[in-house]
Amino acid sequence: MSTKKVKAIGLLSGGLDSTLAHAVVKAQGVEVKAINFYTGFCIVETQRRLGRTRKDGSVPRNDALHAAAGLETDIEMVDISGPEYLEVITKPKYGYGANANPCVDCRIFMFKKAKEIMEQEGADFVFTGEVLGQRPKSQRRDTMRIIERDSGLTGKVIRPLSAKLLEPTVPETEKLVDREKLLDISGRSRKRQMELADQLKIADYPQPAGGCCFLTDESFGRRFHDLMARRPDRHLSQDEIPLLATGRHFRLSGNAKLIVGRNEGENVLLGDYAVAPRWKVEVAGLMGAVGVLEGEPTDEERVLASRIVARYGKGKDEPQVEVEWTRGEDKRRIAVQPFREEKDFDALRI
Amino acid sequence: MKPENLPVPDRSLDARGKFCPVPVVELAKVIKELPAGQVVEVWATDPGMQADVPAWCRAKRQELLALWSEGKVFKAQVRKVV
Repeated sequence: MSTKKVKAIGLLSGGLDSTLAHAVVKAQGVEVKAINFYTGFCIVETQRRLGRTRKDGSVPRNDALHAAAGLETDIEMVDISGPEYLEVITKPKYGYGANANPCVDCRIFMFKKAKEIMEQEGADFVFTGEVLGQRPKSQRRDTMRIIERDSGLTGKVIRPLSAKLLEPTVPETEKLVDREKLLDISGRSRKRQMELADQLKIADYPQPAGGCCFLTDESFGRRFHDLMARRPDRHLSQDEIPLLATGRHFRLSGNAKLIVGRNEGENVLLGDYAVAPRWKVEVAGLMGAVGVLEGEPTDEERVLASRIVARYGKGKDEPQVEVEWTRGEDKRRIAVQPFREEKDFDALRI
Repeated sequence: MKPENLPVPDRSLDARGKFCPVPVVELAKVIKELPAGQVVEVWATDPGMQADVPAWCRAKRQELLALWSEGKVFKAQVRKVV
């Protein structure tokens, strides 16, 4: 080992793998700075905004902060949630995974930011908790090479959990870290990681439930692609993200989409979004769901949307209810019979 | 209720209406601008702040002076150490 104090930048999501990677690198005496990226697609952020709690009643936690506190590691929360990142998400060079997740392009973007921070901090390398073969798209050997190449980090990224299965990196050949003390984990099983966590006395880590990113969520992905398919310029603004993650979504036509709240928290959020050019749709005089309509509905679509919103309120069994439509000063009322069953309009669901 | 004997903060940060991790991201930016020893008071409506701010202070080795709530607003005072 060199006598120079070695410094590294570690990507920390707060999941088990990235937490272990930090512990393994720190155990070699390397000074570590953790970075965590705020993308704007964070599930915990939306859960908290909607007032959701975990099964035990606690508030969903920020795993990266929790892990950094447990590791006693300096952490920087890097906000990348601006237009530059949205451009990557909506127009990815390497395409999407199973949902709205352009994981390769996203990793390249994050690695470029990590490189900037590495250079600012005078650090020697970047490391991640990636495990070879764990994810079908971004954690394959060939894809890892592409990500390193396109981010300008070739040879400078150590994956401590899989390092012995990969080509030696520059910091390994320069003996800044001891390759022999790195690991040879691969595949989707977490057995070895759990054993390592036991050895390192890391007990409190989240279950692998898809992470904190809406882009890998199936229903979010459907809504995202539905929206993009109708926007030739593929523009997405940051304030539309919570809306994509909230409520029941119905595609009434190419020019009209209805979103209906599922609980009080969602109704409050939808109420905040129900400003022009969007329409607010709710049953007059009865408790029920808030609907938001995007686009310019035809008269038929207004009736359809009114019947759907009325299905999710106190008047759902009434022969007829009044549904109020509001857009700024423009207020209208439509009398409709609520849909009796969800199957009657389920085909419209996005 | 606000604990007694807290210092008058040098800076205040209103993060009400913002959610994880934005209040902590903004707190980090404010702390970066302050000289060591100065205090920032942060207000947020994200209930997760009660866990996030202590965790952030522990990771960043900053001093959490107090954490309390007033109605639906969660408040904390943090002194910059390093």
